[in-house]
Amino acid sequence: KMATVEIRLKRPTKVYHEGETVCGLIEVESKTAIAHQSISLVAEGIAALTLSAKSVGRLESMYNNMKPVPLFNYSTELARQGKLAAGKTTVPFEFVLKPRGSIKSLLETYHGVFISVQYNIKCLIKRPLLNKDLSKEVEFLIEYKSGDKASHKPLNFTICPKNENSKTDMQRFSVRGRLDSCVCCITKPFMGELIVERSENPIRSIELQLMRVETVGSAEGFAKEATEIQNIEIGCGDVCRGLAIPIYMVFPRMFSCPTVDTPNFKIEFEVNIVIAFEGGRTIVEQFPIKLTRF
Amino acid sequence: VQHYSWKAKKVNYTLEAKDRIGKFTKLRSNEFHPLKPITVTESSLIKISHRDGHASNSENKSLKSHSSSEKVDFIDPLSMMTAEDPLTKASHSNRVVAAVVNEKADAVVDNSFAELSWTNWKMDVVSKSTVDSQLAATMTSILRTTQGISVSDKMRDRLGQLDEFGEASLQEMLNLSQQEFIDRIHFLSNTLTDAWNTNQKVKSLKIAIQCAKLLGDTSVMQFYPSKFILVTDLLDTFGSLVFERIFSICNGMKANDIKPENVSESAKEICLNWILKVASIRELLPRIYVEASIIRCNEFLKKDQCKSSLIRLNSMTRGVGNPLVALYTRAYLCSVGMQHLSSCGGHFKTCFYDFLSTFKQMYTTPVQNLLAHQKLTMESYLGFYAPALTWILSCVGVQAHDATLNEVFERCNSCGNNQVLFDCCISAFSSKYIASRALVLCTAITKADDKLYPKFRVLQSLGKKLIETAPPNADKLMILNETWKMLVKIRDPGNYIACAVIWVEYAAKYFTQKETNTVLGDIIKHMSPDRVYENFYTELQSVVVRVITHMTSFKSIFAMSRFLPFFDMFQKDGQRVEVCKLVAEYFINDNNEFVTSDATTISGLMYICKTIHNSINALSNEGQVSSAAALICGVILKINFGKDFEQQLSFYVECRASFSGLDNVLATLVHSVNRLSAEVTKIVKGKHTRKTSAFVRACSAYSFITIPSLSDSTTKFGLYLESGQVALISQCVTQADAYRSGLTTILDLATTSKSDTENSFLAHVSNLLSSLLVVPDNTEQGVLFPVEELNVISESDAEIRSDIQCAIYIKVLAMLTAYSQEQYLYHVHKVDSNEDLYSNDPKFMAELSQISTTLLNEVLAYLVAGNKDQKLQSFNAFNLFQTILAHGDITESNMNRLAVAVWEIAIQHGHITPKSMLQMMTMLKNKGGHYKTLAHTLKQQIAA
Repeated sequence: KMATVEIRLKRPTKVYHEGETVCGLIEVESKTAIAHQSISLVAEGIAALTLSAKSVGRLESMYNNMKPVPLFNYSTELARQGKLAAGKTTVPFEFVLKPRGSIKSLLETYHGVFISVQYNIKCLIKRPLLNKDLSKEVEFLIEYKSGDKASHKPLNFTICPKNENSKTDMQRFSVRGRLDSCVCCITKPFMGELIVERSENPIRSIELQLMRVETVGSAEGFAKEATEIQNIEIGCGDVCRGLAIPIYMVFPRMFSCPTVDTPNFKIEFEVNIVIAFEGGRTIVEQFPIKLTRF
Repeated sequence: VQHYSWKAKKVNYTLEAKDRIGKFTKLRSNEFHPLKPITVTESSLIKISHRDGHASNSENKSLKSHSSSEKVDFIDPLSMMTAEDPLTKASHSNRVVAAVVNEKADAVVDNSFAELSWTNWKMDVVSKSTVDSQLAATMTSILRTTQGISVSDKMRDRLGQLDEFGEASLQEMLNLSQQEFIDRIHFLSNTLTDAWNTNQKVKSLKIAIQCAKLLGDTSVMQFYPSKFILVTDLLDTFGSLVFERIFSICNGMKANDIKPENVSESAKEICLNWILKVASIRELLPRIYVEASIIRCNEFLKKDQCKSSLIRLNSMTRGVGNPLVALYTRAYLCSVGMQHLSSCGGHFKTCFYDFLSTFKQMYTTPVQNLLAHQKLTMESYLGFYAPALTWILSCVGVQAHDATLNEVFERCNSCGNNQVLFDCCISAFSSKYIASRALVLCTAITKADDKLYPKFRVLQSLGKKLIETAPPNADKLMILNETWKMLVKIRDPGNYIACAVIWVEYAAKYFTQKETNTVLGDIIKHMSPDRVYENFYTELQSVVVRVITHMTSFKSIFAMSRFLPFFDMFQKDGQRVEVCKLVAEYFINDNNEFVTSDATTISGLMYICKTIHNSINALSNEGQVSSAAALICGVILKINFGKDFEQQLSFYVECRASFSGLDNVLATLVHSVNRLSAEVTKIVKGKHTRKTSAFVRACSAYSFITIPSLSDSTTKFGLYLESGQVALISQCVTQADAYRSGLTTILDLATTSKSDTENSFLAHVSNLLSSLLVVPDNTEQGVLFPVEELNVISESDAEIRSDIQCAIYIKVLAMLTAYSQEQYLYHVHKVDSNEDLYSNDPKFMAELSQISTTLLNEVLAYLVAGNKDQKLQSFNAFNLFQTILAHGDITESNMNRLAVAVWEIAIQHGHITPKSMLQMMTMLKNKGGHYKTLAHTLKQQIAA
């Protein structure tokens, strides 16, 4: 390859907040001098929405709303037609993060299945005819500067077999536990504890399942889908009875974000506690949670 | 050839000696000596002068020369150096400096200590837990080499990288044999490092996760501890790779002092990425292990983050259902804790308490089913727990207060079936702590009704600790009684002896012969039925070793009525001999008793020595013979009856009868008897009573009877000479005649002499000749009969090389000169030499002169003979020249001419170096008088 372009952001974390200035450098490295027609930089933020296959058709009226929602836009020409010398050339750039048009504020970066919020910087070096253009794209992350705060309201729970009609099952199996809170700060781990008091059937595993619940739609109708983000085992094998097993899970970056509720789409989260027994039977207990940045 | 006659020089030895001593003292007063330490204390000077006294007593000393127990009571300048060596001093002060530095870098030292004990523990586990011994060996070698892997194996071929590390390959691993498993892990470890070095960090992580996953599998429990060690080694490698990578970005920071506020943003970002990645591992066990392996990275983010992470990981371990797996996970967490954060004592305790709360799980159906499936007994199952448990508990015990340990014990006590816990607590905690509570523990063990874990293991651990540190005096006996009550009940002889080996040491260390004897008796009682002792030879040997190591004296050892009967259990000869050798060695090296005269001890030792002696037969090799002889000699030399000389002699007689098969022993006996005789002579100050003279005669007789049975003629000759000398100083003149027997040995010696023994042969002859000077002539056999006897040499000249013969003659010439003096150079106290017998009788003098002349001419004839080795001729001529100067009267013109002639012969072939010629000339000039004139003549000759 003759030449490479890199975009270097000043912050190694690549995390920015609304109103801040993004500073960086375009780094062009080449063995020979390069002639170019222009060097341009485009930064944009988009909330992309898609429909799951099963929702398609059912909600044709929603198609209008399926267009990506632009959140932020910035473009500039860093250099006019000219020549870059052989070796390393750096071109600095900077821009301010301001929401576009009617958008009130910038949403946090989120990579989901049906919804994703992404912010990218793209650099394009246009070359004369017969030369391939050089381009590079990097993602930067947006986090809220302020917002809802997490609460510390513990939630006690018990898990019993769903099959209410058999009382004996109830006696043979009992799990109780506590979640430290259901309004959780995304940077702090999800915590609590769980005690298997009784279980006649040997337990194979106890898992925490972090689910995303994505809703796309409008007043006319909506599609709601729940999919798994991650699955964390907190108990393996037939765990000791009566011993408090910690519930501990770190929220993954980018795959989770503070709960979002807009007219067009919602991003919500749930934690499932899944107890699987030898022999394949499972018990699932669902806990909707709200994620916050602070 | 011109005929020369010998004219002896007259010497006044007393005058000369005075002269010499004058020079001597002058020399000695010169205090500077390169080997002397810089600071010479007065006492050392006294000691050194003391040494001269010894030298004058040289005859006595030479007798002792063979005895190894000889005390050295002068100060060796070299060994004194070591006491005050400036180098040691320097290194000592270095150590002080080092200690100061150590204090500063306290954390580092602690870490290395933790690292060390962890490694030791791993070694220990591998050696114990792997069933197959060959496998254990390979495991150990892997453990030793893993440290080098990260550096040295970079360039390993990368074929293996094509492998996928998916579920499929993991499945495959379950079917591998143990050896294959080990190879596989080793291979994976290399691959991990390779992947890391080629920037495939995610692949490294995947390998680490896959390996950690393997620890969830307990399908072969016997192998689990070893597997644990293999995998954790790999994880440690991984952890340090991650740490080093991040650390390399932090410029100018010390590994043991990371300040999060100074860590760069990018380093923190990398670190956080790793931690998040690991936190999202789906399965619990690999998540705990991998997170623990990179726990040190938390240091980059926040102070004390490590500790809280460790505590969290520890509580997460509660989610691991299998108690064995969970316990080993905790052990790993403890090791991580020890390596990185020596200050989190509380963490270890929590680890252990968490385990205690899962302890009851072992008796649940799923675990029992698993055991039944793998055909394991509960005892061996608990055995797999012990190493990890001991490790955790020893972490708890590090720098812990007694209160903490008490609390731990209390908690253990409140559990049912707690013997395994007791065992591990005892082996893990400091011996000081255990010893102070030994009696309480002992009672607790007695009361325990644990059917699952064998009591003998607990007793074993307890015994080991109590040997390290003594329990309170008041409790000692109670403990022994309690323990032995339990021991007696152990049915299985293997278990019994394993325990008894330790407790017998306890008894020997803290009690008298009475208790130890009882214990030994009990062991005999237990091990004798059905000849079970045959299977426990090593253990029984160890019992003997422990007893003799700890008992204060051999007197009490042999006073135990059960000690020698104990040897009956060693039925095979080889075994018994080996044990006997051990005992003999201990006796010889025992510094508490330099000598012994106790009858029981001696009879015991004689039994032992006889066993050793009887083990030597025609098939034994030289090494065996000499080692056996050395041991027996060592024992003999340590047996001393003090003033009871007769008993000592009869002991030697007994020894001769018992150990006739070993020449070295016989030689030692002769030396010992000679020493005995000399000692008696010394005590009576040369004035023998009838009784003592009879005794010394008996001694001489002993020697002269014993010597002929030896086979080596050099030794024989030496012994003859020595015995003769002793006989002389003991005034047994007739016995001294035995020189004659010595002479025949000379012949033996001469005929067998090869070039390498020539020098020693000549030395022996000179020694003999100088001794002959003081031997008075036997009135029955005429004048100078010993010299006549010497003629045997010339008579059998066919067998002796002429140059040696010549050398001997020259020496005899010197001796004859000494004979012709009015006062001899030395005398033996109370023995009249020839000078007194003949008092310069002219007839005697004439005889001497005649023999001298004959000899001289023999020598000259040799020197000028044409067909001889010229070099040897020159040397002999030079020798003769020196003898002439020393002993001849060169004022006589005849002798003067002789000297010149001999000089001519000596230098004619150019074999004498110019340097020695020059020295000779200087010497002559210094002597002055006639010698100076002679020097002139000779010089002219050289010039010509």
